[in-house]
Amino acid sequence: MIISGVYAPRAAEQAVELVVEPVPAADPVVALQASRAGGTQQPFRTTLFHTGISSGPISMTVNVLDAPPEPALEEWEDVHEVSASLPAGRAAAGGPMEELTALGAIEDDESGDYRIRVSAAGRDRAPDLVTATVVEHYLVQLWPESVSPPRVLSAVSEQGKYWAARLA
Amino acid sequence: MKAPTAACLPPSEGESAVCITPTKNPPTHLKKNPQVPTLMTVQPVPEWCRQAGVMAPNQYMASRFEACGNWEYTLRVTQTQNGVTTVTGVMEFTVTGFHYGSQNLPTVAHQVTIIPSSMTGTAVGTTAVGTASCSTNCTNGTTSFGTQVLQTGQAASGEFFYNTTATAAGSVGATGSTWNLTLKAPTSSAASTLTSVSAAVRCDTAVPGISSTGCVVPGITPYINYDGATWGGFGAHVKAAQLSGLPGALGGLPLHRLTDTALRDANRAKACPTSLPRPAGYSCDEYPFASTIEGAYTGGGTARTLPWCQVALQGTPSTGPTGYSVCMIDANTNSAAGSVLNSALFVPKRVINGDAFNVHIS
Repeated sequence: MIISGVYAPRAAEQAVELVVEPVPAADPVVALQASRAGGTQQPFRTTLFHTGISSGPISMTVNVLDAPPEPALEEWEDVHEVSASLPAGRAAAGGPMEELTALGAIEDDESGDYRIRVSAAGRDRAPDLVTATVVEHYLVQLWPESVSPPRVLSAVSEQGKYWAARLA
Repeated sequence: MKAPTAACLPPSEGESAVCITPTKNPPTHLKKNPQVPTLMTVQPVPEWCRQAGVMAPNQYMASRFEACGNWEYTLRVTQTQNGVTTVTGVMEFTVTGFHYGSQNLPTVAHQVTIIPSSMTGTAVGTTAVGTASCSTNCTNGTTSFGTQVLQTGQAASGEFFYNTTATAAGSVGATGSTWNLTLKAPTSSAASTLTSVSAAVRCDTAVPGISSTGCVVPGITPYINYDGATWGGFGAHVKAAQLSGLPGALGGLPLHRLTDTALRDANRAKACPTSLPRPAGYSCDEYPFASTIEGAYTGGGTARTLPWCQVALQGTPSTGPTGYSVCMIDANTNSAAGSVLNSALFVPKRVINGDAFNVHIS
Protein backbone atom coordinates (compact mmCIF):
# COMPACT_ATOMS: atom_id res chain seq x y z
CA MET A 1 0.00 0.00 0.00
CA ILE A 2 1.05 3.66 -0.25
CA ILE A 3 3.52 4.25 2.58
CA SER A 4 2.74 6.87 5.21
CA GLY A 5 5.47 9.46 5.53
CA VAL A 6 6.71 12.92 4.59
CA TYR A 7 7.38 13.47 0.90
CA ALA A 8 8.69 16.40 -1.17
CA PRO A 9 7.17 16.16 -4.64
CA ARG A 10 7.45 18.94 -7.21
CA ALA A 11 4.26 20.73 -8.17
CA ALA A 12 3.81 21.99 -11.73
CA GLU A 13 0.98 23.62 -13.69
CA GLN A 14 -0.48 24.50 -10.25
CA ALA A 15 -1.15 20.83 -9.55
CA VAL A 16 0.07 17.64 -7.89
CA GLU A 17 -1.23 14.41 -9.42
CA LEU A 18 -1.46 10.87 -8.05
CA VAL A 19 -0.34 8.36 -10.68
CA VAL A 20 -0.55 4.57 -10.45
CA GLU A 21 1.45 2.68 -13.08
CA PRO A 22 0.56 -0.95 -13.76
CA VAL A 23 3.18 -3.56 -12.93
CA PRO A 24 5.23 -4.36 -16.08
CA ALA A 25 3.99 -7.31 -18.14
CA ALA A 26 5.56 -10.64 -17.21
CA ASP A 27 5.92 -11.68 -20.87
CA PRO A 28 6.61 -8.61 -23.04
CA VAL A 29 6.30 -10.59 -26.32
CA VAL A 30 2.79 -11.75 -25.42
CA ALA A 31 1.91 -8.26 -24.17
CA LEU A 32 3.29 -6.66 -27.35
CA GLN A 33 1.07 -8.80 -29.55
CA ALA A 34 -1.91 -8.22 -27.25
CA SER A 35 -1.34 -4.47 -27.66
CA ARG A 36 -2.18 -4.84 -31.38
CA ALA A 37 -5.70 -5.93 -30.54
CA GLY A 38 -6.71 -3.71 -27.66
CA GLY A 39 -4.44 -0.74 -27.40
CA THR A 40 -2.31 0.16 -24.40
CA GLN A 41 -3.75 0.99 -20.98
CA GLN A 42 -2.67 4.40 -19.72
CA PRO A 43 -1.46 4.79 -16.14
CA PHE A 44 -4.17 5.77 -13.64
CA ARG A 45 -3.94 9.52 -13.06
CA THR A 46 -5.94 11.92 -10.89
CA THR A 47 -5.40 15.41 -9.55
CA LEU A 48 -4.48 15.01 -5.89
CA PHE A 49 -4.71 18.76 -5.23
CA HIS A 50 -4.11 22.12 -6.86
CA THR A 51 -1.41 24.42 -5.53
CA GLY A 52 -1.06 28.17 -5.23
CA ILE A 53 2.44 28.09 -6.71
CA SER A 54 2.85 27.51 -10.43
CA SER A 55 5.76 25.10 -9.89
CA GLY A 56 8.27 24.23 -7.20
CA PRO A 57 8.84 21.94 -4.25
CA ILE A 58 6.07 21.32 -1.70
CA SER A 59 5.95 19.38 1.56
CA MET A 60 3.40 16.56 1.63
CA THR A 61 2.69 14.33 4.63
CA VAL A 62 0.78 11.17 3.71
CA ASN A 63 -1.18 9.17 6.30
CA VAL A 64 -2.80 5.88 5.25
CA LEU A 65 -5.62 5.12 7.72
CA ASP A 66 -8.29 2.51 8.34
CA ALA A 67 -11.06 4.99 9.12
CA PRO A 68 -11.79 8.75 8.72
CA PRO A 69 -9.71 10.90 11.07
CA GLU A 70 -11.07 13.78 13.09
CA PRO A 71 -10.68 17.00 11.08
CA ALA A 72 -8.08 19.45 12.45
CA LEU A 73 -9.37 22.53 10.68
CA GLU A 74 -7.70 25.11 12.91
CA GLU A 75 -4.24 23.87 11.91
CA TRP A 76 -4.84 24.24 8.17
CA GLU A 77 -6.25 26.87 5.79
CA ASP A 78 -8.03 24.76 3.20
CA VAL A 79 -9.43 21.26 3.70
CA HIS A 80 -11.37 19.20 1.17
CA GLU A 81 -12.18 15.56 0.45
CA VAL A 82 -12.42 13.63 -2.83
CA SER A 83 -12.87 9.96 -3.68
CA ALA A 84 -10.66 7.83 -5.92
CA SER A 85 -10.80 4.26 -7.16
CA LEU A 86 -7.16 3.22 -6.96
CA PRO A 87 -5.93 0.32 -9.10
CA ALA A 88 -3.07 -1.98 -8.20
CA GLY A 89 0.38 -0.81 -9.26
CA ARG A 90 3.20 1.55 -8.42
CA ALA A 91 1.92 4.79 -6.88
CA ALA A 92 3.72 8.13 -7.24
CA ALA A 93 2.90 11.83 -6.90
CA GLY A 94 4.02 15.09 -8.50
CA GLY A 95 3.07 17.77 -11.00
CA PRO A 96 2.31 17.10 -14.68
CA MET A 97 5.46 16.59 -16.77
CA GLU A 98 7.62 16.24 -13.65
CA GLU A 99 9.65 13.30 -12.41
CA LEU A 100 7.40 11.82 -9.74
CA THR A 101 8.02 10.91 -6.10
CA ALA A 102 7.40 7.21 -5.44
CA LEU A 103 4.82 6.49 -2.74
CA GLY A 104 4.75 2.69 -2.67
CA ALA A 105 3.07 -0.26 -4.33
CA ILE A 106 -0.69 -0.91 -4.17
CA GLU A 107 -1.25 -4.67 -4.12
CA ASP A 108 -4.20 -6.32 -5.85
CA ASP A 109 -6.11 -6.79 -2.58
CA GLU A 110 -5.48 -3.15 -1.66
CA SER A 111 -6.99 -1.69 -4.81
CA GLY A 112 -10.44 -0.14 -4.58
CA ASP A 113 -12.32 2.94 -3.43
CA TYR A 114 -10.61 5.40 -1.13
CA ARG A 115 -11.54 8.71 0.43
CA ILE A 116 -8.77 11.29 0.31
CA ARG A 117 -8.72 14.33 2.61
CA VAL A 118 -6.31 17.09 1.62
CA SER A 119 -5.36 19.85 4.07
CA ALA A 120 -3.32 22.79 2.76
CA ALA A 121 -1.50 25.79 4.16
CA GLY A 122 0.45 28.56 2.45
CA ARG A 123 -1.28 28.69 -0.94
CA ASP A 124 -1.47 32.50 -0.96
CA ARG A 125 2.24 33.00 -0.28
CA ALA A 126 3.46 32.79 -3.89
CA PRO A 127 0.41 32.31 -6.13
CA ASP A 128 1.14 31.36 -9.76
CA LEU A 129 4.87 31.81 -9.21
CA VAL A 130 7.92 29.58 -9.52
CA THR A 131 9.46 28.85 -6.12
CA ALA A 132 12.81 27.33 -5.17
CA THR A 133 11.94 26.58 -1.53
CA VAL A 134 8.93 25.02 0.17
CA VAL A 135 6.25 27.62 0.88
CA GLU A 136 3.18 25.33 0.89
CA HIS A 137 2.43 22.37 3.16
CA TYR A 138 -0.07 19.58 2.62
CA LEU A 139 -1.50 16.71 4.65
CA VAL A 140 -2.97 13.87 2.57
CA GLN A 141 -5.01 11.34 4.56
CA LEU A 142 -6.58 8.35 2.85
CA TRP A 143 -8.79 5.51 4.05
CA PRO A 144 -10.99 2.87 2.41
CA GLU A 145 -14.47 4.20 1.76
CA SER A 146 -17.06 3.98 -1.01
CA VAL A 147 -17.12 6.76 -3.58
CA SER A 148 -19.05 9.94 -2.72
CA PRO A 149 -19.05 13.51 -4.10
CA PRO A 150 -16.24 15.99 -3.25
CA ARG A 151 -16.71 17.93 0.01
CA VAL A 152 -15.15 21.21 1.14
CA LEU A 153 -14.56 21.41 4.87
CA SER A 154 -12.67 24.70 4.91
CA ALA A 155 -11.50 27.29 2.37
CA VAL A 156 -9.63 30.21 3.92
CA SER A 157 -6.96 31.22 1.37
CA GLU A 158 -7.93 32.96 -1.89
CA GLN A 159 -6.32 30.13 -3.87
CA GLY A 160 -8.16 27.63 -1.66
CA LYS A 161 -11.52 29.27 -2.35
CA TYR A 162 -10.83 29.30 -6.10
CA TRP A 163 -9.89 25.62 -6.32
CA ALA A 164 -12.58 24.48 -3.87
CA ALA A 165 -15.26 25.94 -6.14
CA ARG A 166 -13.93 23.84 -9.02
CA LEU A 167 -13.62 20.40 -7.44
CA ALA A 168 -14.72 17.80 -9.98
CA MET B 1 12.07 0.69 -44.33
CA LYS B 2 14.86 0.39 -46.82
CA ALA B 3 14.14 -1.79 -49.83
CA PRO B 4 15.86 -5.14 -49.90
CA THR B 5 19.11 -5.19 -51.81
CA ALA B 6 20.76 -8.02 -53.70
CA ALA B 7 23.88 -8.40 -55.80
CA CYS B 8 23.40 -9.79 -59.35
CA LEU B 9 26.23 -11.56 -61.11
CA PRO B 10 25.88 -13.55 -64.34
CA PRO B 11 26.28 -17.27 -63.78
CA SER B 12 29.45 -19.06 -64.76
CA GLU B 13 29.48 -21.38 -67.77
CA GLY B 14 27.15 -24.26 -67.20
CA GLU B 15 25.91 -22.77 -64.00
CA SER B 16 22.55 -21.42 -63.03
CA ALA B 17 22.10 -18.30 -60.98
CA VAL B 18 19.34 -16.51 -59.18
CA CYS B 19 19.11 -12.74 -59.34
CA ILE B 20 16.62 -10.42 -57.72
CA THR B 21 16.01 -6.86 -58.87
CA PRO B 22 13.45 -4.29 -57.85
CA THR B 23 10.66 -4.08 -60.36
CA LYS B 24 11.55 -0.90 -62.23
CA ASN B 25 8.12 0.64 -62.58
CA PRO B 26 5.88 -0.56 -59.80
CA PRO B 27 2.24 -0.36 -60.84
CA THR B 28 0.47 2.74 -59.60
CA HIS B 29 -2.85 1.05 -58.91
CA LEU B 30 -3.40 -0.35 -55.44
CA LYS B 31 -2.30 -3.91 -54.96
CA LYS B 32 -4.68 -5.93 -52.82
CA ASN B 33 -2.56 -8.31 -50.79
CA PRO B 34 -3.95 -11.80 -50.28
CA GLN B 35 -4.99 -12.61 -46.76
CA VAL B 36 -1.96 -13.08 -44.56
CA PRO B 37 -2.47 -16.41 -42.85
CA THR B 38 -2.21 -16.44 -39.09
CA LEU B 39 1.02 -18.34 -38.77
CA MET B 40 1.50 -18.61 -35.06
CA THR B 41 2.40 -15.08 -33.96
CA VAL B 42 2.30 -13.19 -37.25
CA GLN B 43 -0.05 -10.23 -36.95
CA PRO B 44 -2.33 -8.99 -39.73
CA VAL B 45 -0.72 -6.14 -41.65
CA PRO B 46 -2.63 -2.93 -40.81
CA GLU B 47 -5.19 -1.71 -43.33
CA TRP B 48 -3.33 1.58 -43.81
CA CYS B 49 -0.33 -0.42 -45.00
CA ARG B 50 -2.35 -2.44 -47.48
CA GLN B 51 -4.01 0.74 -48.71
CA ALA B 52 -0.62 2.31 -49.34
CA GLY B 53 0.03 -0.26 -52.04
CA VAL B 54 3.46 -0.78 -53.54
CA MET B 55 6.06 1.81 -52.67
CA ALA B 56 9.25 2.99 -54.25
CA PRO B 57 12.48 1.55 -52.86
CA ASN B 58 13.52 3.03 -49.47
CA GLN B 59 10.00 4.32 -48.92
CA TYR B 60 7.89 3.38 -45.92
CA MET B 61 4.76 4.50 -44.13
CA ALA B 62 4.94 4.98 -40.38
CA SER B 63 3.18 6.16 -37.26
CA ARG B 64 4.78 6.90 -33.89
CA PHE B 65 4.97 3.17 -33.03
CA GLU B 66 4.75 1.30 -36.35
CA ALA B 67 6.31 1.27 -39.80
CA CYS B 68 5.32 -0.66 -42.88
CA GLY B 69 6.43 -1.01 -46.47
CA ASN B 70 5.51 -3.01 -49.59
CA TRP B 71 8.08 -3.47 -52.37
CA GLU B 72 7.91 -5.44 -55.62
CA TYR B 73 10.76 -7.57 -56.89
CA THR B 74 11.57 -9.79 -59.82
CA LEU B 75 13.58 -12.96 -59.37
CA ARG B 76 15.18 -14.39 -62.52
CA VAL B 77 16.72 -17.82 -62.76
CA THR B 78 19.33 -17.83 -65.50
CA GLN B 79 21.43 -20.47 -67.21
CA THR B 80 24.64 -20.01 -69.12
CA GLN B 81 25.49 -22.56 -71.83
CA ASN B 82 27.88 -22.22 -74.73
CA GLY B 83 28.47 -18.64 -73.67
CA VAL B 84 24.81 -17.73 -73.90
CA THR B 85 22.87 -16.71 -70.81
CA THR B 86 19.14 -17.32 -70.90
CA VAL B 87 16.40 -16.69 -68.39
CA THR B 88 14.82 -20.01 -67.49
CA GLY B 89 12.37 -18.89 -64.83
CA VAL B 90 10.84 -15.71 -63.41
CA MET B 91 9.10 -14.98 -60.11
CA GLU B 92 7.41 -11.65 -59.50
CA PHE B 93 6.86 -11.08 -55.79
CA THR B 94 6.04 -8.52 -53.13
CA VAL B 95 7.90 -8.15 -49.86
CA THR B 96 6.03 -6.55 -46.98
CA GLY B 97 7.94 -5.47 -43.90
CA PHE B 98 6.04 -4.42 -40.78
CA HIS B 99 7.54 -3.53 -37.40
CA TYR B 100 5.91 -2.25 -34.24
CA GLY B 101 6.77 -1.30 -30.69
CA SER B 102 4.70 -0.27 -27.70
CA GLN B 103 4.29 2.72 -25.43
CA ASN B 104 5.27 0.68 -22.38
CA LEU B 105 7.22 -2.43 -23.44
CA PRO B 106 10.94 -2.97 -24.08
CA THR B 107 10.24 -5.32 -26.99
CA VAL B 108 9.90 -4.65 -30.72
CA ALA B 109 8.44 -7.02 -33.33
CA HIS B 110 9.58 -7.05 -36.97
CA GLN B 111 7.74 -9.31 -39.36
CA VAL B 112 8.32 -9.91 -43.04
CA THR B 113 6.06 -11.46 -45.68
CA ILE B 114 6.84 -12.67 -49.20
CA ILE B 115 3.94 -13.11 -51.63
CA PRO B 116 4.68 -14.23 -55.20
CA SER B 117 2.28 -12.87 -57.80
CA SER B 118 3.59 -15.14 -60.57
CA MET B 119 6.09 -17.95 -60.93
CA THR B 120 7.23 -19.43 -64.25
CA GLY B 121 9.70 -22.02 -65.48
CA THR B 122 12.52 -22.93 -63.17
CA ALA B 123 11.43 -20.34 -60.63
CA VAL B 124 8.57 -22.62 -59.64
CA GLY B 125 9.37 -24.21 -56.30
CA THR B 126 11.61 -21.40 -55.13
CA THR B 127 12.13 -21.61 -51.38
CA ALA B 128 12.60 -18.82 -48.90
CA VAL B 129 14.26 -18.86 -45.50
CA GLY B 130 15.01 -15.92 -43.25
CA THR B 131 17.18 -14.82 -40.36
CA ALA B 132 16.94 -11.54 -38.48
CA SER B 133 18.96 -9.52 -36.02
CA CYS B 134 18.70 -6.22 -34.23
CA SER B 135 21.24 -3.45 -34.71
CA THR B 136 22.42 -1.55 -31.61
CA ASN B 137 21.45 -1.17 -27.96
CA CYS B 138 19.51 -4.42 -28.11
CA THR B 139 19.45 -8.16 -27.59
CA ASN B 140 18.03 -10.57 -30.16
CA GLY B 141 14.90 -12.52 -29.30
CA THR B 142 13.23 -15.29 -31.26
CA THR B 143 13.04 -15.58 -35.05
CA SER B 144 10.60 -17.77 -36.94
CA PHE B 145 11.14 -18.09 -40.69
CA GLY B 146 12.01 -21.67 -41.43
CA THR B 147 12.38 -22.77 -45.07
CA GLN B 148 9.08 -22.33 -46.90
CA VAL B 149 8.22 -23.28 -50.48
CA LEU B 150 6.81 -20.18 -52.17
CA GLN B 151 3.53 -20.48 -54.06
CA THR B 152 1.76 -17.95 -56.23
CA GLY B 153 -0.72 -15.88 -54.24
CA GLN B 154 0.29 -17.38 -50.90
CA ALA B 155 2.04 -15.52 -48.11
CA ALA B 156 5.23 -16.82 -46.54
CA SER B 157 5.88 -14.95 -43.29
CA GLY B 158 8.31 -14.76 -40.45
CA GLU B 159 8.43 -12.85 -37.20
CA PHE B 160 11.35 -11.55 -35.17
CA PHE B 161 11.33 -10.07 -31.66
CA TYR B 162 14.10 -8.15 -29.97
CA ASN B 163 14.56 -6.24 -26.71
CA THR B 164 16.17 -2.90 -26.06
CA THR B 165 18.99 -2.64 -23.52
CA ALA B 166 17.99 0.97 -22.75
CA THR B 167 16.05 -0.10 -19.67
CA ALA B 168 17.87 1.78 -16.91
CA ALA B 169 16.05 4.91 -15.75
CA GLY B 170 16.89 7.82 -18.03
CA SER B 171 18.46 5.71 -20.77
CA VAL B 172 17.86 6.14 -24.49
CA GLY B 173 18.96 3.72 -27.22
CA ALA B 174 18.75 4.01 -31.02
CA THR B 175 18.01 0.64 -32.56
CA GLY B 176 16.45 -1.20 -35.49
CA SER B 177 16.43 -4.59 -37.16
CA THR B 178 17.38 -6.36 -40.39
CA TRP B 179 15.91 -9.39 -42.14
CA ASN B 180 18.08 -11.47 -44.44
CA LEU B 181 15.89 -13.50 -46.77
CA THR B 182 17.53 -16.22 -48.84
CA LEU B 183 15.67 -17.31 -51.98
CA LYS B 184 16.74 -20.42 -53.84
CA ALA B 185 15.33 -21.88 -57.03
CA PRO B 186 15.29 -25.71 -57.08
CA THR B 187 17.49 -26.09 -60.18
CA SER B 188 20.02 -23.55 -59.08
CA SER B 189 22.90 -24.31 -56.80
CA ALA B 190 23.19 -20.66 -55.94
CA ALA B 191 20.86 -18.63 -53.80
CA SER B 192 20.23 -14.93 -53.57
CA THR B 193 19.75 -12.91 -50.41
CA LEU B 194 17.48 -9.94 -49.88
CA THR B 195 18.26 -7.60 -47.00
CA SER B 196 15.30 -5.72 -45.53
CA VAL B 197 16.22 -3.02 -43.01
CA SER B 198 13.65 -1.51 -40.65
CA ALA B 199 12.99 2.16 -40.18
CA ALA B 200 14.99 3.73 -37.37
CA VAL B 201 13.59 2.84 -33.93
CA ARG B 202 14.27 4.60 -30.60
CA CYS B 203 13.71 2.92 -27.25
CA ASP B 204 13.89 4.83 -23.99
CA THR B 205 13.16 4.80 -20.27
CA ALA B 206 13.34 8.58 -20.22
CA VAL B 207 9.77 9.89 -20.11
CA PRO B 208 9.40 11.86 -16.85
CA GLY B 209 6.49 10.70 -14.72
CA ILE B 210 6.46 7.03 -15.78
CA SER B 211 8.97 4.28 -15.16
CA SER B 212 8.20 2.13 -18.20
CA THR B 213 10.41 1.46 -21.22
CA GLY B 214 8.93 1.94 -24.68
CA CYS B 215 9.99 2.08 -28.34
CA VAL B 216 8.96 4.61 -30.99
CA VAL B 217 9.69 5.46 -34.62
CA PRO B 218 11.52 8.74 -33.92
CA GLY B 219 11.14 10.02 -37.47
CA ILE B 220 7.43 10.56 -36.81
CA THR B 221 6.66 13.84 -34.99
CA PRO B 222 3.58 13.50 -32.76
CA TYR B 223 1.12 16.30 -32.08
CA ILE B 224 -1.66 17.17 -29.67
CA ASN B 225 -5.03 18.58 -30.65
CA TYR B 226 -6.93 20.90 -28.30
CA ASP B 227 -10.55 21.50 -29.25
CA GLY B 228 -10.92 25.30 -29.42
CA ALA B 229 -14.46 25.32 -28.05
CA THR B 230 -13.45 23.40 -24.92
CA TRP B 231 -10.17 25.15 -24.24
CA GLY B 232 -11.34 28.79 -24.34
CA GLY B 233 -8.64 31.29 -23.50
CA PHE B 234 -5.85 28.70 -23.67
CA GLY B 235 -6.79 27.70 -27.20
CA ALA B 236 -7.26 31.27 -28.30
CA HIS B 237 -3.88 32.30 -26.88
CA VAL B 238 -1.97 29.43 -28.50
CA LYS B 239 -3.70 29.97 -31.84
CA ALA B 240 -2.96 33.70 -31.84
CA ALA B 241 0.63 33.14 -30.73
CA GLN B 242 1.20 30.67 -33.58
CA LEU B 243 -0.43 33.04 -36.08
CA SER B 244 1.96 35.77 -34.91
CA GLY B 245 4.86 33.61 -36.13
CA LEU B 246 5.87 31.57 -33.09
CA PRO B 247 6.66 27.90 -33.84
CA GLY B 248 4.71 24.74 -33.03
CA ALA B 249 1.70 24.87 -35.34
CA LEU B 250 0.77 21.69 -37.20
CA GLY B 251 2.45 21.80 -40.60
CA GLY B 252 5.08 24.25 -39.37
CA LEU B 253 8.30 24.08 -37.40
CA PRO B 254 7.78 21.97 -34.28
CA LEU B 255 8.46 22.71 -30.63
CA HIS B 256 11.01 20.57 -28.79
CA ARG B 257 10.52 19.19 -25.31
CA LEU B 258 12.72 20.47 -22.48
CA THR B 259 12.87 18.44 -19.27
CA ASP B 260 15.64 20.20 -17.31
CA THR B 261 13.94 21.60 -14.21
CA ALA B 262 16.13 24.69 -13.73
CA LEU B 263 15.75 25.73 -17.39
CA ARG B 264 11.99 25.20 -17.34
CA ASP B 265 11.75 27.33 -14.21
CA ALA B 266 13.84 30.00 -15.95
CA ASN B 267 11.52 29.94 -18.96
CA ARG B 268 8.50 30.32 -16.73
CA ALA B 269 10.01 33.05 -14.56
CA LYS B 270 11.06 35.12 -17.60
CA ALA B 271 7.68 34.90 -19.32
CA CYS B 272 5.55 35.21 -16.19
CA PRO B 273 7.55 37.24 -13.67
CA THR B 274 6.31 38.39 -10.28
CA SER B 275 5.92 41.89 -11.71
CA LEU B 276 2.93 40.84 -13.86
CA PRO B 277 -0.20 41.05 -11.69
CA ARG B 278 -2.60 38.14 -11.95
CA PRO B 279 -6.27 39.17 -11.92
CA ALA B 280 -8.42 37.08 -9.57
CA GLY B 281 -9.14 33.67 -11.10
CA TYR B 282 -6.50 34.09 -13.81
CA SER B 283 -3.02 32.65 -14.12
CA CYS B 284 -0.18 33.46 -16.50
CA ASP B 285 0.06 31.44 -19.71
CA GLU B 286 3.17 31.51 -21.87
CA TYR B 287 3.76 30.30 -25.42
CA PRO B 288 5.99 28.61 -26.45
CA PHE B 289 5.49 26.53 -23.30
CA ALA B 290 8.08 26.69 -20.52
CA SER B 291 8.54 22.95 -21.07
CA THR B 292 10.05 23.59 -24.53
CA ILE B 293 13.47 24.65 -25.79
CA GLU B 294 11.65 27.47 -27.59
CA GLY B 295 10.47 28.90 -24.23
CA ALA B 296 11.15 32.47 -23.11
CA TYR B 297 14.62 32.00 -21.58
CA THR B 298 16.06 29.10 -23.57
CA GLY B 299 14.49 30.28 -26.85
CA GLY B 300 15.45 33.91 -26.38
CA GLY B 301 13.71 36.99 -27.69
CA THR B 302 11.24 39.29 -26.04
CA ALA B 303 7.61 39.26 -25.03
CA ARG B 304 4.46 39.95 -26.98
CA THR B 305 0.82 39.82 -25.95
CA LEU B 306 -2.74 40.35 -27.17
CA PRO B 307 -5.23 43.12 -26.33
CA TRP B 308 -7.53 40.81 -24.34
CA CYS B 309 -4.74 39.25 -22.26
CA GLN B 310 -4.68 41.73 -19.35
CA VAL B 311 -0.90 42.01 -19.71
CA ALA B 312 0.95 45.34 -19.76
CA LEU B 313 4.35 44.90 -21.42
CA GLN B 314 7.32 47.22 -21.31
CA GLY B 315 9.17 47.97 -24.52
CA THR B 316 8.45 46.99 -28.10
CA PRO B 317 6.60 43.70 -28.50
CA SER B 318 8.44 40.99 -30.42
CA THR B 319 7.22 39.76 -33.79
CA GLY B 320 8.00 36.79 -35.98
CA PRO B 321 9.38 33.39 -34.99
CA THR B 322 11.58 34.46 -32.05
CA GLY B 323 10.18 35.55 -28.71
CA TYR B 324 7.27 34.49 -26.58
CA SER B 325 3.64 35.39 -25.98
CA VAL B 326 2.18 36.05 -22.52
CA CYS B 327 -1.50 36.07 -21.54
CA MET B 328 -3.64 35.89 -18.41
CA ILE B 329 -6.15 33.08 -18.83
CA ASP B 330 -8.55 31.15 -16.59
CA ALA B 331 -6.39 29.41 -13.99
CA ASN B 332 -8.31 26.14 -14.01
CA THR B 333 -8.11 25.91 -17.82
CA ASN B 334 -4.40 26.74 -17.72
CA SER B 335 -3.66 23.99 -15.22
CA ALA B 336 -5.75 21.43 -17.09
CA ALA B 337 -4.07 22.27 -20.40
CA GLY B 338 -0.67 21.51 -18.91
CA SER B 339 -1.92 18.26 -17.41
CA VAL B 340 -3.37 17.15 -20.75
CA LEU B 341 -0.17 18.05 -22.65
CA ASN B 342 1.47 15.43 -20.45
CA SER B 343 -1.24 12.78 -20.29
CA ALA B 344 -2.41 12.98 -23.93
CA LEU B 345 0.92 13.65 -25.68
CA PHE B 346 4.17 13.41 -23.69
CA VAL B 347 3.37 10.11 -21.96
CA PRO B 348 1.40 8.15 -24.60
CA LYS B 349 3.68 9.20 -27.49
CA ARG B 350 6.88 9.00 -25.44
CA VAL B 351 8.06 12.56 -26.03
CA ILE B 352 11.45 12.75 -24.31
CA ASN B 353 13.91 15.61 -23.85
CA GLY B 354 14.68 17.10 -27.26
CA ASP B 355 11.81 15.37 -29.09
CA ALA B 356 9.81 17.42 -31.57
CA PHE B 357 6.05 17.87 -31.28
CA ASN B 358 3.32 20.12 -32.65
CA VAL B 359 0.27 21.71 -31.03
CA HIS B 360 -2.96 22.19 -32.95
CA ILE B 361 -6.01 24.17 -31.87
CA SER B 362 -9.02 22.93 -33.80
